[in-house]
Amino acid sequence: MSSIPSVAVTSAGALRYRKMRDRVIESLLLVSGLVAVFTTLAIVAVLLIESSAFFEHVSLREFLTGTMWTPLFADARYGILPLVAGTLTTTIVALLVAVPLGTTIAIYLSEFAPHRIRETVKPILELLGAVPTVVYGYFALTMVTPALQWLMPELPGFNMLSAGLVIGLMIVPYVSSVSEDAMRAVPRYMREGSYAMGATRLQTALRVVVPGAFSGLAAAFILGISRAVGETMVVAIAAGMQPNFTFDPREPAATITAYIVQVSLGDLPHGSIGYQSIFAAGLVLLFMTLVFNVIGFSLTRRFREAY
Amino acid sequence: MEPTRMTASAQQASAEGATATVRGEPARAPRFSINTDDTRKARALNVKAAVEDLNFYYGEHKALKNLTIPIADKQVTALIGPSGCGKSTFLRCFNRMHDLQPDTRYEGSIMLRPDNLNLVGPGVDPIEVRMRIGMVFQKPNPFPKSVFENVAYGLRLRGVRNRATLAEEVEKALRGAALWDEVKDRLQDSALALSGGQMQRLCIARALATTPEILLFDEPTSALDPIATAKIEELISMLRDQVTVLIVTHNMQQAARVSDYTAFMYLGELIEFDEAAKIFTNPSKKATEDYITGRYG
Amino acid sequence: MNNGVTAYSDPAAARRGLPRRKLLDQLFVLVGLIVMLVCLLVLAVLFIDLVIEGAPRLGWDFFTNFASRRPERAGILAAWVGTTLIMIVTAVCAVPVGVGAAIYLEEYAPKNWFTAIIEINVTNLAGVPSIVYGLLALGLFVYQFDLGQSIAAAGLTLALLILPIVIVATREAIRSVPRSIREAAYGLGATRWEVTKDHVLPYSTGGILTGMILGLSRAIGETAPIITIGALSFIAFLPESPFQSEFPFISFGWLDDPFTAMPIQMFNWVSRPDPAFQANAAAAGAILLGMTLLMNGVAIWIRYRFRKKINW
Repeated sequence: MSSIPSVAVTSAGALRYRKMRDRVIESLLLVSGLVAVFTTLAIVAVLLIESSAFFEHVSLREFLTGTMWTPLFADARYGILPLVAGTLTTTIVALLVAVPLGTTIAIYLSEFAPHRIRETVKPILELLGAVPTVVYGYFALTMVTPALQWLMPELPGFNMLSAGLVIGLMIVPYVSSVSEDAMRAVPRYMREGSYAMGATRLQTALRVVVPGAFSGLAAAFILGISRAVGETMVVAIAAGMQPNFTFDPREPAATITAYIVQVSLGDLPHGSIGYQSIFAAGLVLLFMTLVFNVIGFSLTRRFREAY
Repeated sequence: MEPTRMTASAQQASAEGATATVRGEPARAPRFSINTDDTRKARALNVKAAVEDLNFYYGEHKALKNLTIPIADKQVTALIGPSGCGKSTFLRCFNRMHDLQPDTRYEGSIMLRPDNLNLVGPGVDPIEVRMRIGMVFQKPNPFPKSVFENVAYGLRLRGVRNRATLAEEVEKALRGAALWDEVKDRLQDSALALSGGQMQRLCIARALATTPEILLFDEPTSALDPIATAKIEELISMLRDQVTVLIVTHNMQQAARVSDYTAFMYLGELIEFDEAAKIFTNPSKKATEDYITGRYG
Repeated sequence: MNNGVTAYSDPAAARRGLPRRKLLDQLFVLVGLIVMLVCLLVLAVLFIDLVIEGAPRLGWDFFTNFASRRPERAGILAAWVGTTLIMIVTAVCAVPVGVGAAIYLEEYAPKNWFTAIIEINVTNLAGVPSIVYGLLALGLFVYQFDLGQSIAAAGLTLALLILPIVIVATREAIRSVPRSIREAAYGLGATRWEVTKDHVLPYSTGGILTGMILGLSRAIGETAPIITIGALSFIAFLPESPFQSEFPFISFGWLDDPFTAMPIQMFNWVSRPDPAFQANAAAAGAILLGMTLLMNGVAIWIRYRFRKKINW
């Protein structure tokens, strides 16, 4: 016959212990969560502190408007514009590659590709996004530059074009994946409305899905900018490390990131102005990427909430 | 179905309110709005939990309004009513499941006898409540562990480590849920390999293993086929002698078959509470009658 | 009579544009496929070229030699040992903190502005350029905490870098555990930590492992941050061994030692004008690439296997 077991093992002390353990662990977990906040604060603090030491020697005006960046020379100049120009040029080249290719791939995968192709290609794209950037730098220097030189014989061994192209190729998976997420978020009934009127897939894609996913596509574009701006190794290897105030991609130049690498490779005494200059450069870099990230993420949130 | 048991605790129940020492609550004379002619019979109910003036809020929204109901000891009490009437909300007050959501608030009391613990009292720990009140959910939710481990989990939480004790208690619980014969050779197999009805009986065994004082059922058969449903109804009837049962169901025939007392709720309020036989054959309120006869669902 | 309605309901007119539209549709499919294939092909060509260039150098000597001025004698011994040791530090730091933060955010954190700040920071950190982490480490770990240009500093830096990856992957894994399981556990009287450790964590192990491996595969290839804190690329010695022959058998002296790592070595060789070093760089790159692909592949496989194991 059935019976209910008569075990009732709950001492008040045991319960108190369990609850206290719960509270201790909750505090530990909270501390783990705060590490992220601490990291952000630390980044800002370090950059600001070292940069403020830098700006005691260099005027803000010269920094922001000067066109010569030669901190390691005897006659040191501290205008950051050459580095900014280098960063912008490589970024623009990269975007000219990544946005058309990435968006096309995204539209294809989202609206046209049969399920099997999607399932095969997506992991491959994910893998491609995971390749170390130093390997891409190697490609740029040893394979892309010679190929470009065959097309344009006067192209120097170090140039921003090669670096920019490779960076673009490198961020195609990222742009494509963010764009595709945005397009898939467009609800089915919108597409069905278009198909029901006799539109082809292309027309639906271009006239309904792309406008509907617009904020997500903008997010992909802007986050792609942020990625390209922050890229270091490809430019350090392939674009040379000579600051050069130009927007011509066929010339060598240094980006903000490449400059930081160059200084780090050398041997600068802690506290010297050369040492502090990398933090000032880093501050500019952080500011640029922060602006792009904030805009990009808020656009991402917008398209996620809209549907 | 004889509801009354004139034991010592029944006399205590009738005399309650005068001298009861209550955890954090002042002594108060109970009021039960029971629509029955035989108020003597009603007051002699051996009460396991006395709900008094219970209000419940989701944020600003008042989901339960002034509920006052006695839950009879070792009897089956059913909560019926149309969708959205608050019966599941009411059920979940008994084991403080609402505390897992933000911005919820209780007013009033649910006094658990015999030690007069207010289950929804502000100073009362929900974990403590859940250690004494068990629940079986609508959709069977066994853990993705073995059958044995599912039933043993509640015991492990309570500090039972001895393997022999665990094995003994697990077997008792599975027998109590009328599942032992079907799984005794499969105790180490995954619980997810069982059929829907078996999974639900496993969930019942899991709850029984911890010897709850009240066992809550939240529409336990709505996700099951008719045969499994019948088995579980039979089980609930058998459980009545050993455990106080509170069951929410939207299936009126089930309530009529299984319960001793029935409460009809509508829009968060109690409309009528009485012996099941009376509610289903001769309800006092028109609203109850309309619902029972299917005039609205 | 030609009113507007007649024109729209004329079947012949409707059919007229159709072949052209369908052609454009097919063309786009072609374009999409071509673009995809071109990208994949270019990358395949680059990778194959890398392996071909590097293959001649991949021998036992390569793995057991130190860097050298002579390209044919240069090897990656110091580099792969350094990478391994750094990865150990990174994993030990990033995984507990990342998993802990994810558990806090998913199971414990109330929905208020404080939690929102934590979440915003996690998202933000994912977008910070890796070289900025290097600057942070330089100022904070190397100088402020006085860890010097050491393996410990490198490991901590990379741990911070991959923290967002671990957190996001763990949160996803935790979220996939259905609410009904938690309700059942709470219903039996479990405390929040008991629910987490007895149910949520065991059932999300697959996702957590995936996140950890993806994070480490990213850390292995990161060059910029560790250049910034001062990895040397011409090291002809190894850090102190973690294993000792006497009690307590494990030493931690290696945490303080200067170091190099695989991507640094590759970068150094690529930067040399001597083309013979390019072959070394290619070999190192092929190894790095192989490791990255292997780890990512394992992570994807784990994710797949665990998803199949528990079908809710």
